[in-house]
Amino acid sequence: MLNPLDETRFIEALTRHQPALEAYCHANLANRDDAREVLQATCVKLWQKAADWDPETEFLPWAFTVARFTILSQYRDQNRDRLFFDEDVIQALAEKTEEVATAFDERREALVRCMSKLNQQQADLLHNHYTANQSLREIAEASGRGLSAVKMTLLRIRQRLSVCIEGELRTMP
Amino acid sequence: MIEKQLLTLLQEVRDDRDEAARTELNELLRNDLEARSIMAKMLVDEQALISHLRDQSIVSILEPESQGVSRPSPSRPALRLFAWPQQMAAGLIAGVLVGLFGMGMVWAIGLPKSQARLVHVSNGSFEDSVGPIDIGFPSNFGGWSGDPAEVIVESDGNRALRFLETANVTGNPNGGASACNVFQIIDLSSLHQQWDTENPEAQVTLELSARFRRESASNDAQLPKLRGGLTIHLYQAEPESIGEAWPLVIRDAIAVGNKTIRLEPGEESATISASCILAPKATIALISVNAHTRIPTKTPIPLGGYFVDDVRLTVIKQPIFPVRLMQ
Repeated sequence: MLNPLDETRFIEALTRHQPALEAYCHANLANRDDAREVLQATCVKLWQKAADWDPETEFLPWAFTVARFTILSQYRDQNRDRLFFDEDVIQALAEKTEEVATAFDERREALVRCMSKLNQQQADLLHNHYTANQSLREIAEASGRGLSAVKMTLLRIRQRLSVCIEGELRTMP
Repeated sequence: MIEKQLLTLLQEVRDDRDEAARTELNELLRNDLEARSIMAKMLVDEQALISHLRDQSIVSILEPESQGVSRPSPSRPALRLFAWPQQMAAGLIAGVLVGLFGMGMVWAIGLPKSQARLVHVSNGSFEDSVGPIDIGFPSNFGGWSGDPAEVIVESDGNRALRFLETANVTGNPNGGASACNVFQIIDLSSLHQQWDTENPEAQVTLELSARFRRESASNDAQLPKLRGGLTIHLYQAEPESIGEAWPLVIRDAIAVGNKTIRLEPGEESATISASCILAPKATIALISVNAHTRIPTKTPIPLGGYFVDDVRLTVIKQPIFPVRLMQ
């Protein structure tokens, strides 16, 4: 049981780091619905284990560990076929994923700057695919373009954003 | 090079459920440290993208013209009653209540206390005028104005409002222009006494309804997500203060109701309605009808094929349903 002061610090930490935690789940699952589901389960477990957290230590490494075990336990028996990555690959990815997800806020800030450099068509494609949940096939059909052309366009936009984000991160204070 | 390969494989697994691609992807990540590093960045950045687009999308739905607009004038602020979390909680409770009352309609119809009456909407049937409506945000009661739209006469003589093009109603060239909104401000001050809105044993709601119709237009292919919609916002404020602080003033609304509909070109017309509780403090209702492209843009988009007619506002008083049922 946390004392009221530590409980407040726990709530603040969980609230502040939830986006990074969601990014960590997404990086392990590569599927936004699964990531949200696991994020919820992880938050519940973090609440249950709140007394284990030492407020004098970093919150995220502890939360990432809980999230990784949640991912593995939730999918080990139930939804193995839905996993994009094998269990040993998730374990191998863990260290790098934690490192990158810890810098989620900076990466998001860089991404927002990079998004402003895209033209309207590129922004629309991203919106349709990632917000409106349209598959590339649906986008191709709606726009009258070929599927491979849409795939290639998305690939190029993603590559351009990656390069831009890394560049922005290098210039950030 | 690896990045392209990883992205391609990821797309194939996602879109085609390609098991061979999944195996190849895992092999690559298992054996190549650089591939793991790139994949971690790629997916974290993808979540950043999803998160950013999600935020943008929420803003565009709630505040279609929000970009680049100045904050409310401090001299004439609309009253803010709730902070965001409270608004969300209040919204959830209101939603549950409205849902309960929706279910309760069947039971409540026979009860003597259930009453409904139309509130006057100026030119709600669009039969009083023909031609373009005023451009810009309304500052007074009693008329339609907003983005480019016109009242047209149909072949059978009926008149309806046609949305002409999307725009930014505040006139801000850097603001969003993804929707064509037409507004009217309604005076609610006389309703409270008449309907005893502070009576805890009854719930008074406002229901806004309108009939939407869509005809074929030359640019239909470019507007796959075009939707018709209506919203109702209640404020405790002077009518002119809403336009001065639009769209940031949206978050100061005491109550909000909205509804949208997606119609295919040529599809039969359909009536939709949106409700909200008539809060005792609300002095005005801002009602709007719109055609929303769901395309994030600052450039006006021609519409032309979307129509709305029969805009009605109804005040409904019902007993507090769960209490009555228990009795």
